[in-house]
Amino acid sequence: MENKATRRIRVLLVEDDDSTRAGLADAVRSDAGLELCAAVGNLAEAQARLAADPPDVLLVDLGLPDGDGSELIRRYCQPEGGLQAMVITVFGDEAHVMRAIEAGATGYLIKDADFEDIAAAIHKLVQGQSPISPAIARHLLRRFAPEPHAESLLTPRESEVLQLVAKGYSYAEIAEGLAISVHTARTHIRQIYRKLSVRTRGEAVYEAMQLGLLSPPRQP
Amino acid sequence: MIAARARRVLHSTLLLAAALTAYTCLIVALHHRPPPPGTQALTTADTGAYGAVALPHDWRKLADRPAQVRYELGFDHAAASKGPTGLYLSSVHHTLVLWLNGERVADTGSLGPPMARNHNRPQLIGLPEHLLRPGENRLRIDVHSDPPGSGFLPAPVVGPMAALEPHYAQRYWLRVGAMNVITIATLALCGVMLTLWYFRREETMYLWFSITAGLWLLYLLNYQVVAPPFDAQAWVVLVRFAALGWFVLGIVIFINRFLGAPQPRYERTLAVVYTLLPAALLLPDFATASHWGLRAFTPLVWLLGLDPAIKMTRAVWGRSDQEIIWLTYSGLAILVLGVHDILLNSGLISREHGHYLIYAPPVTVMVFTWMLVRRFVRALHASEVLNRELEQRVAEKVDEARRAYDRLGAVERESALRSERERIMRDMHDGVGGHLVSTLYLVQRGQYSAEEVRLALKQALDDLRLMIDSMESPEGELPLALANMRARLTPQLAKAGIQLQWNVDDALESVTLGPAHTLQVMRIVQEAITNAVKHSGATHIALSCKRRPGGIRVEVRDDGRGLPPDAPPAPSGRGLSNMRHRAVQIGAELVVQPAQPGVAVVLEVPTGG
Repeated sequence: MENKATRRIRVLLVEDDDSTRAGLADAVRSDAGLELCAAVGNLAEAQARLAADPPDVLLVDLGLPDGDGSELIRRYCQPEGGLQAMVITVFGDEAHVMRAIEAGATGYLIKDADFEDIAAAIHKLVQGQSPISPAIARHLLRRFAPEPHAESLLTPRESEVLQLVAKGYSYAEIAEGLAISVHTARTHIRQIYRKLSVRTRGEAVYEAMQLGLLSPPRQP
Repeated sequence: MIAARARRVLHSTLLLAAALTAYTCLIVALHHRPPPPGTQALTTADTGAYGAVALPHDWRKLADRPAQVRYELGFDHAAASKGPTGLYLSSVHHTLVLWLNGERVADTGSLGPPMARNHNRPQLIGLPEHLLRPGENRLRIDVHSDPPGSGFLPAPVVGPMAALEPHYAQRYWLRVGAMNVITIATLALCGVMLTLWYFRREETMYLWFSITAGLWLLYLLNYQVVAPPFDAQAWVVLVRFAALGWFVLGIVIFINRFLGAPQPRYERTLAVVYTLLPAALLLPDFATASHWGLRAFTPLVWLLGLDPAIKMTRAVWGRSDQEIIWLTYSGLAILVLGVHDILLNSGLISREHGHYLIYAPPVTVMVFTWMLVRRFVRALHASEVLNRELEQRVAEKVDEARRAYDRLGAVERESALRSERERIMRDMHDGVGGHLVSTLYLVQRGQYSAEEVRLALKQALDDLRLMIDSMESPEGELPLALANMRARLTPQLAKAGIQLQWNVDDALESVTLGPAHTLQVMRIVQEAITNAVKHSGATHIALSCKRRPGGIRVEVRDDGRGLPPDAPPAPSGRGLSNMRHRAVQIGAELVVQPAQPGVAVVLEVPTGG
């Protein structure tokens, strides 16, 4: 904590719309704890930046002129790596957010949020908190246990948290209801995001092997 | 049609006539084998009482019905002949005692009562070497018969055993071995038919076939049993006359079942007649009984045999049924071989080779068995074909149903898509479109502040979000949409210093309003909350959503200043009329009422359930 307080969080912003990029850049700059490494408008520039000077947080739009932002996340954000990705979305709707989480993002940002809200969201992300909406929670529940009696990849506690989020309860209410700390409740959400990402990667590898794009690991 | 049938009948007739002729010729040929070379048949004998007679000698020509006749025969024995010498007889009615040069050599069974019955058995008797003399030898054969007067002695054949043995073995097989084979086969078939009938009780045809086969086996005992188990007359009446009558009666009943025309009363009457008549043969002495049995009862049995013969012949013409044709012609074997036996019984044919009728039923039995196998195989085929057709028809129906379902599904999907598109268009028009137009006017008139424009655009964006929230679940579940709204509003409310109390009934989980209604409810709730935040100066807003009989009750209550009396403040007024308009659209009831303190907006939404 001490260390983090002294060191500013380095943010790379990738957004193709000029005025939105300018607004978001202002939001990052306006916070003393954040440092904007660069604000770029396409995938190529972002890749160059990421290779040359890795930031702490990648703030990325999904629809970019030369590709999809999720490519960037998949490539540079490992589940246990240092770089965290946050997706910029207009509505925070299910389709966009799920795609980002599957790629490995651990948070999302609503574009028209206030400056201080944007900065706060980035700080929370670094502290291990991930935002989640009831719709996303519901979708995650379905993704992990598509049938009522199927074995879920989620722990019972994780399911409980998701169910309460889907009902519209706040983190504080959930923590109280389950007799856990707010921090623990948030950790569960982060854990669920990671699981989804890892699982999706696994599925992708499996599918690629099925298609013959990858060869199975050699037996020793 | 008729020509085709006639051709088919003719075809079968020729085929079967050929087969029957071949079969009959085979049987006759097997019986009429000349004595083997190197042997001599003794064709004359001296009987004393009847003088010198020619052999074979049939006693039925003798008027005094003797019970015993002594035959004296002479034969030359070549001293140089090697190996043992024997005497062969094709049969004897009914038993004999043999003497060679004054010494008793052998007999063929008990003289009774009951007397041994050798009429179906060939005999081969070894002549002891020490009794044989070179040159002339004297044989004495005492033949006994029961009933008296029915005796018969064929021409004995004397010669080396080595030459006689194969001859004897062939004859033995023909008269005894073949009979055993037929008996075993008939017994097996009898069991199969009984089993078949046991599982298909309504098909009495099989039962009667089995009974008839059983009676046939009873009749065969006359040819197989040498030592009758009881009184000879009773034995002969039972196995030779009664069994034959019942056997033919069995055929009558079976054929009636086979043709599907049972005649229970007629059949019962026949059963009584053909039981009483042989029973009457027990009354006179054995010789008379045998005489009447042969001359009167047996012809009556043949007469009875005409019944199925006529019925089958008519059926052959009446129906184009291959089975009936085959069965009828196979019955001809009984007729052909039976005629031989009638002639034999009347003394027109020598009794030397015995009855041939015993070889006839196996033909019919074989045909019937073949027919059954064919029926069985056909039934199997038919059921397979039926199954295949059924499967195919089921598959076709399934296919048809699937196509109909697909068509229906396509129509439904199309109509769902169209109504969804229409809904989205309407919602855009009502919501974000309207907000953008009003913002545009605001900017065009030039009377705006940056804050006003920001708010107007924010409102447009918020409405767009509501639309998206309402679409998050395709079924349009209100609790999920409300939950999303809460998640979105929480930061704003917190910034405005307002606490939001949230109370959504868990029982609402199962209620689906549909996306269109959900959106309108959400718009009303959002408007209510926005109004409370903007105008009431409240510090608490409470949202409760409860299930009610027949509907849902949503209430947004604030603790602010309350409704301004009689004042129509423009923005909130327009907001209120908008809310009312939307409520009407979904058939809901909206009440805005003062609360203590503040205002309560209550929306009652019917769920139609």
